[in-house]
Amino acid sequence: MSGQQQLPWQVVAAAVIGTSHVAANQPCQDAVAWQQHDGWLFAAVCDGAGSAAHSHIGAQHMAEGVTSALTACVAALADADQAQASAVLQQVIGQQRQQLQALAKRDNTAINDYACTLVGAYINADGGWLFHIGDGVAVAEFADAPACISWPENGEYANETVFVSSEQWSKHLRLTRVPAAPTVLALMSDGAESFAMGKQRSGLFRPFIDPVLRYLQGVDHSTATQALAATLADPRTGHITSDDKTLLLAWPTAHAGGNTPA
Amino acid sequence: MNTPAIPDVALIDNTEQRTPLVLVLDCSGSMSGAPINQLNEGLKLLESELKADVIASKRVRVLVISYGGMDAGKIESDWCDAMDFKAPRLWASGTTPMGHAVQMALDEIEQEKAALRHAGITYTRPWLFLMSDGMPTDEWQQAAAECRQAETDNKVAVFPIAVAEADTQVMGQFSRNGQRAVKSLQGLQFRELFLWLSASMQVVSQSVPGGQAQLPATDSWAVVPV
Repeated sequence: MSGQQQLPWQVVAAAVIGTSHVAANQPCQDAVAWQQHDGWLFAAVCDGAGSAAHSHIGAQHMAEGVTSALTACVAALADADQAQASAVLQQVIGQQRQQLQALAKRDNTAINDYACTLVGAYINADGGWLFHIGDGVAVAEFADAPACISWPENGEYANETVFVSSEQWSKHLRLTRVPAAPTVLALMSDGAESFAMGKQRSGLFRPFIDPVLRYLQGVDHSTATQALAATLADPRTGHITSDDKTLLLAWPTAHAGGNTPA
Repeated sequence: MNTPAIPDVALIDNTEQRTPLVLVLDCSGSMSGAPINQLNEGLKLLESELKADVIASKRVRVLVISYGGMDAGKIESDWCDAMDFKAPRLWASGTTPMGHAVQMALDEIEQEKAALRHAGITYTRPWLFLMSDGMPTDEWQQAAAECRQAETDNKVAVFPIAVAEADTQVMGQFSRNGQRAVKSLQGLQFRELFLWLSASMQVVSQSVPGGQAQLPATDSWAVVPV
């Protein structure tokens, strides 16, 4: 995209189908969407539940709907405290749920058939918020401060989580403050978490993310997107997870050259 | 144009996740001969099958408890990752203290979960695989009630497997689903049973939220109920 250069955030993202979904002839159930508006970046990754029949539609709808609806809330989001930010998100996510409910009614299905998780962020030059229902991970990294991380919310068992379609969704909406513009923002589905996050739970896994960022920051947007998708589809990931893998990476345009070694 | 993957990227599994599997195996005198030999062969097969799966070998945690002898449950192989599992050689003799063995298994499961939590390792629901070819000879009712409750409380998934003359009505009392949870082994198809168990563990150990684990069919080893 030629317009990409003028925007304050550089964004590269890819969602890649996992081997178990290929084998079962199922679609990729992850979805990723982002929008830039007035200096803000709105981004979301949704992971459709494997057992829900139309979860790929639910994930797509939620990711696109939430990011797009948030662009209309810029006035309410600027300088919002946690309660205000939460209120805006409750409203935006609630609207998208209502639309899914309408879709379910029309198609004689149930909203649980569209079950998906949601992990997202909205940030501008002064920071912003990570927002989260269920699993997946959001990370905002800084040059000189520990990363802000929104971790998955699982039940006792690692293979249980909360979905946006749940009746109790609003109780499970979690917000994490991002106090300043991050050097890197990463959103990922749980399929990518295993190799993109480090074991120490302090941030992104350097041997993975450093070469990825160096490469993405040195090529044009279309090459970057294809290379990220090819990396997420690397056969080595099949030894780690059979799930869909989604990763969105964003960094401030002004810093684009800063992370690249001379 | 086919853009290649980004060069020099480390792609390794940083997930610490485990699926505990407890085998509670009847080694009473009636298992002597062909049954215990087939069971031992089945265990070896489980070992090699789990080790052959890159994900399951890292994530499945195995514990083997036998019961027999003088009304005793015995840990034949303590908790270990599947990649380190060595099938124990089991011997048949004595009575059928099923209640005692199940109680041991339930205690071990809770201890193992606590150890995993303490180490910051996530886990999926443990499996308790209860195999018998006869009637319990101990006070099994209390253990059965606790096992049922544990399954109801989502602490464990219970799979009772009835061999030969086992009492399916009794074994059903160890599961919240009662007698219909009991699978009856066809003859001595232990080989097929453990192939199924290994395949199921491969599915469960990498299951993800919201994905109902699609277990393989049991028709290679279970008697079809009519």
